[in-house]
Amino acid sequence: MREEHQSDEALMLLYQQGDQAAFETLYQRYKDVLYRYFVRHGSDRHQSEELYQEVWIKLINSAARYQPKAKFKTYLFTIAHNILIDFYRKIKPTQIVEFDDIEMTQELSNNPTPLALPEDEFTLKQKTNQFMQALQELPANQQEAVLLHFEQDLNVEEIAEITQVKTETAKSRLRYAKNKLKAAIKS
Amino acid sequence: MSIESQDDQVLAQLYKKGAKETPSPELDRKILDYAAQKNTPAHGSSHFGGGWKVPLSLAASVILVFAILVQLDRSPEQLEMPPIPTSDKSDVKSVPMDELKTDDFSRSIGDKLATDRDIGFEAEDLSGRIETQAPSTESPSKLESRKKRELKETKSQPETTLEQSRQYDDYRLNNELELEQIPAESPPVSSPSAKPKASNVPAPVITRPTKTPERMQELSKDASRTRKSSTDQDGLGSANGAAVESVAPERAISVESNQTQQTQAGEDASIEEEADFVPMPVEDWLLLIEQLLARKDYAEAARQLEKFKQAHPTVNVDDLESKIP
Repeated sequence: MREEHQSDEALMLLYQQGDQAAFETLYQRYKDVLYRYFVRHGSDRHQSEELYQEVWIKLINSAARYQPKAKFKTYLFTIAHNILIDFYRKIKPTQIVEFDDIEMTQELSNNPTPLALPEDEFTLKQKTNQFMQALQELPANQQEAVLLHFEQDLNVEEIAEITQVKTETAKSRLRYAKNKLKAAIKS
Repeated sequence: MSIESQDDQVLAQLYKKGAKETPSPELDRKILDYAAQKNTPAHGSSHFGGGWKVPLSLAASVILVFAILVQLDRSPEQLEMPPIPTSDKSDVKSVPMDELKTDDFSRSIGDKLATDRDIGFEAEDLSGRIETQAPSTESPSKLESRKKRELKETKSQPETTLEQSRQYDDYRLNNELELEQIPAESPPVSSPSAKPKASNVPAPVITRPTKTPERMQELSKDASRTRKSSTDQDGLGSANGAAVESVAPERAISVESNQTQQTQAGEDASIEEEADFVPMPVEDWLLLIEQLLARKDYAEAARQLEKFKQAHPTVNVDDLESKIP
């Protein structure tokens, strides 16, 4: 199809002009990553679906005013981030906690050996479960940073833009989240 | 490859192995349906309305303000309402409306009024019949110029002169002027400018006594003598002479002219041309008679005295009468 070779921004502009197929293509590109973004954050599946649906509705409603000033990916996850923040403020205000940079720095310095994927399937599955468990236990802001990084390969600047923080803050969050995950796998 | 990047790769692989969740097809369909529903022409029209609402309303406001400013920039004369006629309602009713509408007719009435003023009697003395036909049809500019002229005339006349003027007007009306109705078939005599279409309006016309050459000569003599005697008697030059002169010419009966001028100069010129009977106040008249007696012009003095007695029967002129042999 013609839409499959279009950039995200072009597809969004096509949808703005009434091209429904362009939106479907865009939806197929981002539905899984966005859904997982909420599943990892949310307490249950139903809640995650609600948030996921809310993001798409918001995107559709604001499609007429869309201008390709930034990457569509950044635009979409900024909407998702704002919805998630609203959700935490309403439902789980205590989960948003600032982490201790000193503690994370010390933890990072204590793990100098590189990681390696296990060769046998059983050990790999076990490590994966440990990783996902550790990811779930991360503070919300670190979890968000690492999810954006692993899901979409977003760099620190893009993460900072989406989460509306300074680049250094985003960089720290990402680094500390990775250290925690590494520590969880090695243990 | 650094240790950090190697760790990142391992973590990413672990994440991708563990993250397999996808939204349900129902949820997908729900969202896609919503997107299709929002992407209808109605949605497009709301976008148009939202985008053009402000510019359109601004443009409409600018046009409206411009139109109002254009109206306000017009000169006040254009916006001014025509003056409300001050004549009596009963009199206005007597004139058919379709005739009042015609410009020619109104102009002829206006001309007639101007002529009436020139001959020295006021329209109200004619039971208001002449005046009542005109006010509603006179143009505002004409009314204004007329008011100015009347004001000027009033200022130039002393009060005593006005009183004398009224007396003389009575005399004129009683003895020399007569009003008569002209039949509808006959053409208007006094107002040649009136068109035939206005002739069916019963307009009073002033007819004057026929002037024989002898009579004209006499009157001319009288007029010149009166002016001369007034000036001589004062002996104060043109200053006081002008005061007397300002009375005498205005009392003069001017022959109706088709080209009655609105300007004062035109009026003066027409008065100069008129060599007619000279109306004058009682005192001036008596003075004239005395002067005639002093010059031993007894015939003229007797004639003037006779006329004076006719005009003012109550005034005792026995002493003058006794001087005439």
